[in-house]
Amino acid sequence: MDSLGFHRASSFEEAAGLLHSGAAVLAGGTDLVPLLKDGLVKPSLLVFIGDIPGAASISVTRRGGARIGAAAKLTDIANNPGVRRLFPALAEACRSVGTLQIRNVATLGGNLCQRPRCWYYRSGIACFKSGGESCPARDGLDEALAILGGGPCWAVHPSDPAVALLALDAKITIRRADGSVRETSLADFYCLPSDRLDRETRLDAGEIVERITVPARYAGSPQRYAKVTQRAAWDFALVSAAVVWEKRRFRPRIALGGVAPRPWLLDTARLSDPPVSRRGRDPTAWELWAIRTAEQALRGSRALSSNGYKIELAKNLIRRTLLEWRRV
Amino acid sequence: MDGDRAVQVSTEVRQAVAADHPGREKRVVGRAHRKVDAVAKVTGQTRFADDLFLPRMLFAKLLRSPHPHARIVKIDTRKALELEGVKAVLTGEDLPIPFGILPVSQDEHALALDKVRFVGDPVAAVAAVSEEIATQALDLIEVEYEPLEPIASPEEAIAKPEPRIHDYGDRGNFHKLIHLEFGNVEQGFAEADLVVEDCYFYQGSTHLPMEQHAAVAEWSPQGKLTLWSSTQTPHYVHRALSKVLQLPPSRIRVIACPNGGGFGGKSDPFSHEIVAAKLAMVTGRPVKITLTREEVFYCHRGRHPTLMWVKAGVKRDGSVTALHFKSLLDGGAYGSYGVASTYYTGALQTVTYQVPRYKFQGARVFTNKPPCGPKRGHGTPQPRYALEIHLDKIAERLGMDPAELRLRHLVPPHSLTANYLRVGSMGLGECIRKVVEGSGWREKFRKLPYGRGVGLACSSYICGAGLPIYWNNLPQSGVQLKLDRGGGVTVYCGSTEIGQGSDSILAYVTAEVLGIDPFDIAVVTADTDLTPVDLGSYSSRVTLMTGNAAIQAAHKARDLLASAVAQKLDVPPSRLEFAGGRVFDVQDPERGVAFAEAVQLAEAAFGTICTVGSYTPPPAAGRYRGAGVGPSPAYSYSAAVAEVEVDPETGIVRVPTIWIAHDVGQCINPVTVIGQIEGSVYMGLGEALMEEMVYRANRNLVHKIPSMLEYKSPTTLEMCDVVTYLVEDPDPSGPFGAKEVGQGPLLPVPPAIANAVYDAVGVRIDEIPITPEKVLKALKAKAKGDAGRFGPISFPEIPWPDPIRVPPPWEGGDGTAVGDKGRGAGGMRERRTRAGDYAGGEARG
Amino acid sequence: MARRAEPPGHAHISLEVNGEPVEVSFPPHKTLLEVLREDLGLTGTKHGCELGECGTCTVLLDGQPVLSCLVLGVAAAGRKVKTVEGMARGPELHPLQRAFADLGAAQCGYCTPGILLAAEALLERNPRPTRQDIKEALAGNLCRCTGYIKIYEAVELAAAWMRGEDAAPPEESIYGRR
Repeated sequence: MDSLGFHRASSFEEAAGLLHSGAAVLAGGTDLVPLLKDGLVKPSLLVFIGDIPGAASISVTRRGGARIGAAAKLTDIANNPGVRRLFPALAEACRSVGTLQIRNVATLGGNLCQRPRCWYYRSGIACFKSGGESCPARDGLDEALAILGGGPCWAVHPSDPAVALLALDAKITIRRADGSVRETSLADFYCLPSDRLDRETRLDAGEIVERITVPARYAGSPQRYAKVTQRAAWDFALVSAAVVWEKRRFRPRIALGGVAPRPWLLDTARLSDPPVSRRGRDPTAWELWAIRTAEQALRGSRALSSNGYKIELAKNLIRRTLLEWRRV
Repeated sequence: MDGDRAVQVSTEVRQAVAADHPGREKRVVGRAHRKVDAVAKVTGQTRFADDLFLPRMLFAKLLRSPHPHARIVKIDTRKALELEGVKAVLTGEDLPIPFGILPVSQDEHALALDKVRFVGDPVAAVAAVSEEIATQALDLIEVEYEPLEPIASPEEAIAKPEPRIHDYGDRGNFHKLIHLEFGNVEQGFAEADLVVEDCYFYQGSTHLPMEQHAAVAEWSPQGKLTLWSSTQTPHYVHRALSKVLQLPPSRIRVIACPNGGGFGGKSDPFSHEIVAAKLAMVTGRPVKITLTREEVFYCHRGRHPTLMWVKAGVKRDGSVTALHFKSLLDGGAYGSYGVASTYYTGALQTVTYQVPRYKFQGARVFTNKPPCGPKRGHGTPQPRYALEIHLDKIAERLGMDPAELRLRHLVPPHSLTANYLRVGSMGLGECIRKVVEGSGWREKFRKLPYGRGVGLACSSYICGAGLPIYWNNLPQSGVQLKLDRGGGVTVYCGSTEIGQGSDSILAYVTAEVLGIDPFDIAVVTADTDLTPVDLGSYSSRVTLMTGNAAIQAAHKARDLLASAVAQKLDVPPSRLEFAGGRVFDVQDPERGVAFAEAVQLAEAAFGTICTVGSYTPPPAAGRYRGAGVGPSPAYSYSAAVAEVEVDPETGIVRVPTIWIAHDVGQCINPVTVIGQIEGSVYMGLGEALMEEMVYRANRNLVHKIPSMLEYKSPTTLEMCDVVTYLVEDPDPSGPFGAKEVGQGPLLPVPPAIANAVYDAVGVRIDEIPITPEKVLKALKAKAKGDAGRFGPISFPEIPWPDPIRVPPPWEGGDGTAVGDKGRGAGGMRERRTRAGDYAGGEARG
Repeated sequence: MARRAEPPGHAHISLEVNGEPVEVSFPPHKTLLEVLREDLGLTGTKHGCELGECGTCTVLLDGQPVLSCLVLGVAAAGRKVKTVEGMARGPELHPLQRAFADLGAAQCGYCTPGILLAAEALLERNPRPTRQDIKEALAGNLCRCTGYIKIYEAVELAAAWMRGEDAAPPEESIYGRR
């Protein structure tokens, strides 16, 4: 590893220009450093983006939504008064990551681009993610694996903020090696293993995440991020859910985490409309609707040998989260 | 230092000492103090093994087996040796002599000789100028393996005598089979009004000390080896190094650095210690090895996963007529302390409630997983879990309050149990009353709303094993005192500070006897060149044994000083009191000398003042084979009430509060006693709810998830509130009456939580850890009308040997087995084992 | 940054460690933990996993607790690092160190440096933390010895001292509940 080079980028253009094969982007390093230590990535150059002016900026307005630099730290997002007021689901998702020490260093861009936490991949056992030709987890200890969208790799995506951002219909700004910029929705940013095995995103070589934008449409709308873990700190989600209400149409956008190889957005068209009349909400009807929605949400899910509990957990989580609006 | 602000506590001590009243009440013991190493620890000055950096030091790495079970066909180290920066490479052939903690289980090699027995078994070692180069060199070592069928579980070990993991043991893949019967249990069951039978499973867990094991070795061309290591047992490491390296013990110095947590996980001599020493000898340079966290998981020696079957007969009043207990331990790949662990799963069932007839069958099997060994409570949390839940079930069937049932049938103090354990002081009744009162038990038990519940459990633990691990008739602990003419005192003792406060205990008890401030005492410990042997920090032996040895040494010094001062003051020595840094006439406290002057007077009269003390436990009462495990100078007692909240929808169990009372005999320092209790509750909570060693079994790969992320241990957000009651019932065997506190308070926590879960939602979780999944399964089963229970349902057939029958004391027994009159005390073999003969002798520990 | 002769592939950085300017040169893959312990001789910072899973190696980076095993040394250039060695003021212990010593909040002492620094950062931003605040601030630091309770009590005691109160620990935390 002694041949590893280090470059402190002063702009995203410069950084993207350096991302030849063999280079890795270093922001907070909370995911990259363990990958380096375990020999799962072996870059020849680290391109540090933490010192790029404005890369960690957070600006939030009711009219303009949120613009968050890729190198913004999760602690700063979670504590940002604007984010807390207008996009509490995002604040909560950032606050639920790892531990305080990790959030003080980890960046939003890095969190969205982190690699899977599958035990087999991280232990250096040959698998699809590490360039191998099989999935040892599929018939191994599979309780952490995907119940939706899995195959041939079944590792789930570990990000919390991605789930909230997906429900918030966030956009992601990507800088290319030639200096140009492209924007894509978060929904299109992620892909499934059936599309692409080596990565979890549609970032191409020489591309770098520069900024995340949350549309104003959901600023201040009722929203929540809820996460189920084995341990209250330091844990990736067994299942998580972000629910964001559209202000005008009064329909929820629901995204799930911990259940699929990508943050999982439910197809709103497949969900029933909530029972709202002019006289307000009937708690019983609301509860029945929540149960129905939870069932619809998990339609098509498939359990492996020991991750079936996730289906129940996800249904429960969706139902419980929706019930919070039973009496609004 | 910052002594002035040492809480009210030090002030209190000063006042008490300043009061100068001549009574015998204690001035240091029983009061709160800082630990002697507290300031070093809060300033980062404590030097742990990995904090040592020596000039020209090399770094070592171990190549570990990727196979759970395989024969080594060939090892080629040439390419590794050619790598620039590599100074030496070792393989099994360089260290062919086996070792192991117990004389009966010398089954480990520093580097695998012919076969590997678990994923992580060390195969080769490299020393290089940097850790990176050493790691690179590992990749260049070519090992050809011939995989063997792995044995993954006890069931497989029982079913498959071949391939044998070891070529010793009680047959096939059984390492140890035990069958003991104290009285006729069948008769006892026939006399019972109610007989209850059930199975329990206690999952394996690991110590997870925050400090990774580390060692530094240095070889002097003069022919002397020094090893610094994070070990709890420097004496045993000393012996193992001597044996494997074929060096006389006089040419080896082992220094145990303060351990960054041990909990039993650093009690075995380890491969990496021997390898570092050998690499230092080969290269002539200091060698450091620090294990990665993954490797710490491979060292393991943690809690044995244990399947248990319990059959208990009781009268209507809850009195036990007979108890029959079977245990099956998954030992992993090596012996470690396993023979002792197996005995311990059957030893202490008798010291809490009266058991007139008792039968125990224990089996330990080898499997191709990291070896299990002693973890906090060593072999006793598993049976305690089973027994205390079993009693809860019995109490319910009898319609009795479980606290009342226990209180009615306590073992009386100063009595002998069915299996010949000599109980001394016994404060369990007071413990139960404290937690029942404090928790509001009577208002809560079976009265809280659905989803909330309380559970009670009790336990007992040894204060040191009666017998040493290898046969000898030597003291288990020695202390040496040196008195400086300036008034300073240095205590030398082989005991090892692992965070439990053993260094401080030496200072406190010495200060108490000599009437000086504990911070005027320097403590030198755990250095085989400097300190008398203490067997190590295991089996909760240190306070009792080193404390007694220190008291003896201090009394000898005090006698010398008293004699010299008596002459000067012209009073009889018996009239002299040592307090407040003075030696004075109790009848005229104004007349006296400063402690330093007393030392000078004694030094003038007798020469340099150095005294020694040592401690040997009393002989065991049992004389049958196996009687060596269980006897102890004293037994501590604990009782706990857990309150839980169970979410019936998710199965998640939350524990808001645990009330715990512990009979510690006498606190030496109550702050550290409470610290040990709170830490024990923490570890018990982790085992109860989340900690477990999990192995992947696909494609014949048996492999742990060796990370702290996947091995869940409680954070601040999981830890419960703890209300602690200290019960002091001084034991005549303990120093100032003190008993252990480091391990015992863990034991009642898991069963108290399990009993509370039953109180909360009406399901029995007879298997640790109590995960949401298990709770949900039990609730679903109950809703369907099945038994609301999650746990094992059967105990396998095992080819038990014929029982060793020992009539209990009340049936005229004298501790010997029927038909076996030739045994000596403690069940030792008559044949004396020569010092250094590692192969013979029965295991004890 | 000043360039000077250095081993090939080495990074050379300036930073402030415990209030003093420091220059150090090391291979760029080294973590801040390794730089502190191996290159600067500050072994007060411990490690328990070197993968960000235990909290033992916590130091303050610009006043914020971070895991020094997950921060590359190069990323600390120009920043302020505080380790346990920098807590005491001259010969006088920091109130947190004093309280930890008095209450036995350090048992084996291995997680202690990291916890002290995480607690210092907490008291810096919140001089009057509740028990729950303390739990949340220390949730990223595993301790296997204490069950955390003596640690909470010590943080509460130190907080009171730092607010200028003449506080003493409750009798129950020293002698148990009677």
